[in-house]
Amino acid sequence: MATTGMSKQRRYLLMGGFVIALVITLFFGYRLVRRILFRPSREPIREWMDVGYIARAYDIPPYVLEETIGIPYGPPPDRRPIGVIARQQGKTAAEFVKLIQDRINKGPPYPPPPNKRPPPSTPPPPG
Amino acid sequence: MDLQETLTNALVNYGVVAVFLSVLVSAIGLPLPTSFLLLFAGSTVANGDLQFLPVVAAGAAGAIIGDHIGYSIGWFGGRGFVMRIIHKLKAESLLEKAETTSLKWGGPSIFLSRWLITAVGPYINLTSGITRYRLPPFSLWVVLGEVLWVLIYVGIGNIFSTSIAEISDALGDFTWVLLGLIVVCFLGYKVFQSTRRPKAT
Repeated sequence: MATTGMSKQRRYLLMGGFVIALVITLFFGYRLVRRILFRPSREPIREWMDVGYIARAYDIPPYVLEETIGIPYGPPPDRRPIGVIARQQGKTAAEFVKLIQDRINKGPPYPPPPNKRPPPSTPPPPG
Repeated sequence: MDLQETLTNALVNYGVVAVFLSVLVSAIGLPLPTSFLLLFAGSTVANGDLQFLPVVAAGAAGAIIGDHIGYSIGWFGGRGFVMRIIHKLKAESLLEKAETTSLKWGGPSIFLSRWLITAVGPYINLTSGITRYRLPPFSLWVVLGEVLWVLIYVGIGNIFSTSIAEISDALGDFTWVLLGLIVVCFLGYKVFQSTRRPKAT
């Protein structure tokens, strides 16, 4: 086939680039469509999320999560990412994610907030 | 600690200053997930921990200043570097062509790369400086595009305040699809041109 004078090598380069760009575009397009069609009702817990964010996303009181991962009760909820809190406690973010996920899966009923709980009963003094 | 966690931790500790600095260095070219940060800042606004206007102002100011730093690097440093390569390759016509293209398409490409195809923004800053694209129109397109970008992302984060991760991933894929489509169309056109029969003279 007659051409506009472009070298064969350059034409092959262009066609190669075209095919690579097409494959990459289709890959991201497929991922985008899959994300939209199979979007989870609640997004998975990730280490950058903070207690308040997870509490809002999963409709769970923040203090329940704070107790689960062993940090002092708010309010306001601790705003540090759970990954940071995990490392400060010598644990991994994955351990924290699992702890929180297990607590969420367990569901209600939730205990009352710590500041509204009756004080622990003290045993009567001996004698 | 991954980048998203680093950024959310910075936002918690330093508020809008973290937004300003992250967006600034990202506009210069450091690959930070700043679109994610803006979405998360929007979520934080919805939660009442930050206020909408200061977040938008900090994000837009950081982006605009960062873009101009990138442009200056292209103008003062990049051009000399490119000229040396062009002289070695004896391809002065290439720079002329780039300057003509920049003059013709510079405005729309600067504007769209601020908010729609953000991945190419830092490179457009550099090439705008290298090809001596005029500063006043560059600044105008940058301001319009960056304010729009920050408003869109903080706004989406504010509305979908508990779906940040999913939306951030989807918007990231969407950007790559758009960029890919542009490259596919451009290369497809070039391939088509290269296989076209020459006109009979």
